[in-house]
Amino acid sequence: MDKDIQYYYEQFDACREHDIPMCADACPFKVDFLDFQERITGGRINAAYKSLRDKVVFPEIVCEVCPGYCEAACIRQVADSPVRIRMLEKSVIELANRKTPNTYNLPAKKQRVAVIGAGLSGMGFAHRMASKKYPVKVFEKEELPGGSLKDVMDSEKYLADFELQFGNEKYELVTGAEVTDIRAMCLEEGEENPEKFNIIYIATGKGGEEFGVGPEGCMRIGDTAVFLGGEVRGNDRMHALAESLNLSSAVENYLKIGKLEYCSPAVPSKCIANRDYLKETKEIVPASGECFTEEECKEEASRCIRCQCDACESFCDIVGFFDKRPAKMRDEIFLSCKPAGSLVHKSPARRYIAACTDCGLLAEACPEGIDLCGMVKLARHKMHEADKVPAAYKQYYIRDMEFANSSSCALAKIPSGDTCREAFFPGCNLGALNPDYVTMPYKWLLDKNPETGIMLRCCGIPSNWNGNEEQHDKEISEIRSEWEKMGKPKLIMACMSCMKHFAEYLPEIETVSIYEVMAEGGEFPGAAVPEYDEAAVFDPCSARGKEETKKSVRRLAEKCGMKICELPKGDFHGCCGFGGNGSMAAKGFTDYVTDKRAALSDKPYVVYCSNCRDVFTGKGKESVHIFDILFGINEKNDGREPSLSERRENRTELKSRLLAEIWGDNTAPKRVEMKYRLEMADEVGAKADRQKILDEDICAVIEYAESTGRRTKSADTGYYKAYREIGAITLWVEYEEAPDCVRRIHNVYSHRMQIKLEAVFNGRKIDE
Amino acid sequence: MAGKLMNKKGTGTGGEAEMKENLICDRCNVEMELIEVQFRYLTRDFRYKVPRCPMCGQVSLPEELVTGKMADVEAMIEEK
Repeated sequence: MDKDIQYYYEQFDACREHDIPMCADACPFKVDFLDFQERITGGRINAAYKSLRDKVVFPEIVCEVCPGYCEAACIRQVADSPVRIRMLEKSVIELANRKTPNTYNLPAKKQRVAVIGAGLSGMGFAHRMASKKYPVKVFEKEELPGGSLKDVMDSEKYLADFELQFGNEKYELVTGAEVTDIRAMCLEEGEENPEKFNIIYIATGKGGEEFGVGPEGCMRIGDTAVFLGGEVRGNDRMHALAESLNLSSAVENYLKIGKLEYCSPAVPSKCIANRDYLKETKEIVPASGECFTEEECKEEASRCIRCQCDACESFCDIVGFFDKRPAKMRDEIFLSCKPAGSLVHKSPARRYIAACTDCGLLAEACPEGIDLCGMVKLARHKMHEADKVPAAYKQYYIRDMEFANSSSCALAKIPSGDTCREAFFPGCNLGALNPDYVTMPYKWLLDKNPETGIMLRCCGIPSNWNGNEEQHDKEISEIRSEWEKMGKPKLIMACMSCMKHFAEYLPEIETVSIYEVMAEGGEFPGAAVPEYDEAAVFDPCSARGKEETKKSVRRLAEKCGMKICELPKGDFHGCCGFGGNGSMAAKGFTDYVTDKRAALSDKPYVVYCSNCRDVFTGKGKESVHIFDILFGINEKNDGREPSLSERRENRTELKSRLLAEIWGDNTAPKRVEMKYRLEMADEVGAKADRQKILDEDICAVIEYAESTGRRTKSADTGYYKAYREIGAITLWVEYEEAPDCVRRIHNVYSHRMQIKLEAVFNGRKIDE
Repeated sequence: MAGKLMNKKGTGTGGEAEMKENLICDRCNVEMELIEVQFRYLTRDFRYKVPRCPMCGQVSLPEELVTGKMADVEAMIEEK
């Protein structure tokens, strides 16, 4: 880990979360249309009017004159037609019944402001300054204000809007007064003269007099600051008004701190619309022909898809499930990574750091390339170092890994000789689901090359999920030394996650996916094609971008006569739900992820990752592994997923079968021995599986209860209830005794809290 | 819910479980009573009244408590 947490933290500066939508970005006034439309859909027409006026000052004029930059930028036109924002504005102006501007009780200012030109820009600037209570005097050479507005609009209408909006503000308008020399209006240094001005704003209109102000737009004459703005600077009408409104802040800045600077142009928004939200809608046509009714306004406003960058929400399951904004996650992860001795004892990100499936999709999907995935990965290591990961999160996965690597299941063997050039690495879950998933492909490989070795074990990924570097290094070096002993063979991988893991941590090992090997040639006499009209290939997240493997799987399926199709976004999706410690760290998270992936298509899935098949079948999503098709395995399967304990037995069974069938070695590997035979209904078994409880754990509880007498009996049902700590969890079992060491299990449940000091009661030690 | 099992500082306050089942301690052959027990999770301690044998102190936690309040508190502490 050469990157520190600060490296990831700083990446979030580029986050587009708060970037305004394209319509607002195109708008000269940056009107917040999301807020505007929210007010409309909430039935708050007057509030919508107010939000518009706050931004544009003269809503009626703007609404009539603006060409509608916003509509031209609306993404909806890709699907049907842009949201009719101008019509919405017009209707809101029409429907609003409280248009009187608000009055603000601000202290009157002393600095005097002169505005030359009472066009739209000049009046806008005058309004902003007057509402900040500066004494404002507007000079207009013509008899009426409005400037070039008279060319495009009825003068009565714009004069009425001027009057309405200036209703609460005092300003002085001098018409028929052409200013020819501004020097006479400027204060000399140190001068105080109530006839002269501190600020002069020149808005003389297109082709008007600039009074010597350069392209920078502002200058100082004596103690007076002179600003140039509006159409005289080459802006169109709307940008001219918008500029004058923005300029008022720059001017006030000058008056307060003496810094003479023109307003800087807005930073363009980098918001990108999520086109997935674009469903075809019908543009609303006003029944009256002129304006929308309030209902029509609401309907039209609801066509807006509210564009905001939501790549993280769409493409990252932890962002979606935990419903946290990326900046918040960044802060929480940062806090959670503080070392153990730090003064800050907080780990708010604990659950989602553990739950992350490690699919790596967001790092590819974020338009700014913010690597939240990398940050989470680093955080796992930091949290492990600080001992902040609850042991209950990892217990099951680590025990499972250790079991897969124990003498009961692990194997590294070559059919003959000491070394081999190729070896099969099926991964630990494939054989756990069904030993046939390993024996049949292995025999197929042996037909092709009788010297192919085999390595049965876990790739060590669970220790990486926990950020336990020490344990992970140990796993990796064990794999390396086994591989070296076998003569450094090329590994033929069946699990894409193992393959990805090796590519990252054991780059010296050459790997190839078994699907590529199989697609190269060879027969599959036992192939059985499920009777689907069409199935979609679900690529595991670990195969994203692995084009050769992906193609091979499709070729194999088609070769067997299956009709296959692609998911809407191909392989651009996250994990099936198997990855990470989500099932222990966050209730409901894995279901959320699996449901989302299962919903990508109504069609059954063809998968080539045992984990994907495992979770999809478990959730009732029709899916077949490519080995089911090639070797007809599913036919023999009764469709029931093996329980966790059965999976362990399957692994041992796999080793035993391989030893017997390939090597003629009938020494059975060590099996899990249990004192009792457990009987339980399917739903009790499923409940135990959900809590990652094994039969041997249940046995351990009963054994402890019966040897110590620590159990209670229900007077109502006659069942015994007992508990025992199994590592980091406390397991409760309700059961019934039966002859011949049979125990009927009626209920199992577990918790992570520890019961303290039970053995010391009323000052006495009980069990000693 | 969880508030009863834990105060703002995250240390224990009282509260008690409901006794729905009629449980007998298999060792002492007496009925269980609601007696305070100390719990600990991720460096935080709590006290709560749960069914407990008045003779030997054996604890028996009902499933509703384990999957309800306790699970809520566990999730809450994990996010602290």
